[in-house]
Amino acid sequence: MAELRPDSGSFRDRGGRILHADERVFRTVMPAAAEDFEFVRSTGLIDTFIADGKLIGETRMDERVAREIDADAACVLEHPKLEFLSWPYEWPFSALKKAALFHLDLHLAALERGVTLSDATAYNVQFEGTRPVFIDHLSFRPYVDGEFWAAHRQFCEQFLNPLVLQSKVGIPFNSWYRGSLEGIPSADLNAVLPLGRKFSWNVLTHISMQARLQSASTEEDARRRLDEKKLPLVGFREILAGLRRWIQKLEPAAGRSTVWQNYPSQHSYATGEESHKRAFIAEFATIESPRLLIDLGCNTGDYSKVALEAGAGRVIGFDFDEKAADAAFRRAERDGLRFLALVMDAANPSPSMGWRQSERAGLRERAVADATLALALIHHLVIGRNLPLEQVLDWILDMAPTGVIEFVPKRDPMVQRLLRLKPDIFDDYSAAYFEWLLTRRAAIVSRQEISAHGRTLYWFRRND
Amino acid sequence: MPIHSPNRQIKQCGAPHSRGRYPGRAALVVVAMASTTSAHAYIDPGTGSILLQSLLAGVAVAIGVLRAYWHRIRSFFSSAQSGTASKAHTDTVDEEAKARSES
Repeated sequence: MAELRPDSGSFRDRGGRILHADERVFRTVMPAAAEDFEFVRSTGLIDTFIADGKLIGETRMDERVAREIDADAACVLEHPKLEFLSWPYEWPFSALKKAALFHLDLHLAALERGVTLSDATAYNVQFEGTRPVFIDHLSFRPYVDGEFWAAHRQFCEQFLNPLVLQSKVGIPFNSWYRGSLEGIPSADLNAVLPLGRKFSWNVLTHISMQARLQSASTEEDARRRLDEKKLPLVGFREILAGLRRWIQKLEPAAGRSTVWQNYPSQHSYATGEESHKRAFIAEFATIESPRLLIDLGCNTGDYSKVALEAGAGRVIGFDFDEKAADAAFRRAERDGLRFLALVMDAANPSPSMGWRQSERAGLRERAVADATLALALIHHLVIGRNLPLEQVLDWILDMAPTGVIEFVPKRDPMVQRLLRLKPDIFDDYSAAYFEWLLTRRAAIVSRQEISAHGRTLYWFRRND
Repeated sequence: MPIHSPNRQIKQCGAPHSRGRYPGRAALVVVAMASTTSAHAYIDPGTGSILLQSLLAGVAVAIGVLRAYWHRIRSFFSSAQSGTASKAHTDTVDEEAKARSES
């Protein structure tokens, strides 16, 4: 067995933890959790969820291997490795909403068989394309008649409140969520909710009242009620079903539409240019056939779709515009694409965060792909955000051994727009310098000018 | 590299699991009661959430009761109505049959 490495994000639940050995993923089940673990399996729930693709698969290791992995464990499971982990603060609105509904459905189905979920962390939901998958097998435990939903607050903070913030206040939740990591506290959300939004039964109870009760009550009150176990199953179910009905209706506040959301229909591409670009990406994806492709600046996913149809296995797309990423997510859902669009600013990618700054890995650790696309991106970073071209290229080249980068020269109307309100201090921004930088680390497989203004696509392969 | 710790007290998972281990509902509850307190102890439910749930549960139960009564009332009226409707239908059929036999 290769060297075992404990997962840096798996430490809260003493019932077991995740260990990695090369490409393999193991989960230990500790003696304290063994009985619950067996009970849950006896209900057939785990098998059903796995068969339906709602829960990640498991293989029970034989005793010898289990002892080798953790001598103290009651048993050890192996799970298939997920190709890419995303965090809820990177999800667009529709993805968090889908994950929230998925979590509630899973919980309602579990209760049917006398099983409940011990927590409600959004990090336990991952996406395969746009399909949510639950990844924590030890979150399931026997339901005790009359018990409270211990994870209600966690559900509110990690699923409900971020959705309500965006829906009722009009602020995308991503930055706040990323800053607080465990979600948005009800008291904080309550403080920013406009008064008019509080005249709704759901907002009033789950947010305002919860926040008020939290500050006005004592632990003794809550302890007494917890011990009394007086939440009848019908009430428990109704709370879950009520939240489900409410979340189903939540939509992001309309606000003004962003430039990027409407970009594909409005931008200045002549149709010929677009078809050249599509053909180039299709050829690249056919020949390189990457298993995992990262599309930086994916917008609504036009070229991700082209790559997928031409042979890419799956695509993770990033866009700094939440609305564009959300539109891309919904398109992938509609067209059944293995494409997950995430919200991220390339000039400020997700850092490694949480406990010991390693609980939630940053983009650099996760973004190890077979290929990248960086179409109409680098001029925004170099000219729009003042990042050095050399560093931008290195960042892209570090992500994958091959890819396509589009260079947009200064005379292009888009770059002219970026320069309209700032002085042109970008003397070294030229195709010649770009090519020189690129060929220091990579070979150019193919190069094609696609517009009259000189927009050029470069298909590169890194020298390593 | 296996991970060892000095205080070993191993309790194995029931290896290749047998369905017969928890036969009835009674056993289900007993097992559940015996083993759940520690398993979810790492999560802090929050005092506000607990008090709110007591309240929401009360409301949910009340709504459930009202809904059940409402269904009962509605089904009472709809069965009464469908009773009249079917009687009316029978009457028409009878009259048609009578008319046919007379013609």
